[in-house]
Amino acid sequence: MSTSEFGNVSWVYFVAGAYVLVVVVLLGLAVNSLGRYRRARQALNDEGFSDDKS
Amino acid sequence: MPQAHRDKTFSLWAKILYPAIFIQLVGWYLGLFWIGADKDQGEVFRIMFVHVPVAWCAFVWILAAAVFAIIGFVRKSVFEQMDQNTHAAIDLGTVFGALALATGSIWGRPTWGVWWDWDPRLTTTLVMFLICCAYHVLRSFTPDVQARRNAGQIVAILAAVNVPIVYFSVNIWRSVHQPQTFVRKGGSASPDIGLVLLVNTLAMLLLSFVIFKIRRVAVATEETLEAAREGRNQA
Repeated sequence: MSTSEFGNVSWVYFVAGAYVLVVVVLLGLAVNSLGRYRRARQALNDEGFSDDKS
Repeated sequence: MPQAHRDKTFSLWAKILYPAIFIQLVGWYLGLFWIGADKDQGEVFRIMFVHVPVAWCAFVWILAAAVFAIIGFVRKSVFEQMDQNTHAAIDLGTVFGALALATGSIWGRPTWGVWWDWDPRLTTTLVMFLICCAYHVLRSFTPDVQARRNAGQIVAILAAVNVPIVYFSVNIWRSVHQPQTFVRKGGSASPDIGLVLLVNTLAMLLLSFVIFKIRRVAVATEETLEAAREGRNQA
């Protein structure tokens, strides 16, 4: 791992930080979207609303 | 749209999510390991392969939200569906806007020496992100469904007005942010970098489209549940 002109901080931390951030946030967005649908779908079933209400 | 149809749509796009993630991983592999270091910035330029695609996704989804909003206002028969599209698109625009700001900040520290600067590109992007946040705040604090939809659509259009300002800000004002590397004449980037960037941008757009479709179904299902509960309470 080489260090560069950014003080003593290696470029690896900046690159890894950016990629990890994007992975975590996009994964969170996907999981949140899947979860929101499943929770709403489950509630429609549990509360006895017809499937064709909309 | 009947819920059964939504269930089918959800199942389809939930399956497509996995190949979309795989294509994105291939793009990141190319950006991180296949392409060589930049002669000016060294290895840190690899942040470009996430920063530029997320910024483009923010632009695309905020513009798409405004298009949905305008169609909804023009064609009242599809207003509700367009509002759901707008809602899902602004959700994505907000997240990608935040990611563009965050990855840009991480890239700015080693290249400019600061995490943040009140530069025209950064400031206009922040304004665009804050307008997206305003959309969510407005929707959360407006109990009346019709008023919520109208206000949301107007704010979505307002957010899109800012997109060309963000894009051209590096040309209009003096900026520390670099100008468009691949669009302007005489850009100095190599074709390999352009190719990897194109692959990553297309992969991110595909991934974001799949997430949009899933989120769109989630928003519609939640609204169906909300309407059903209100109907029960009123009965």
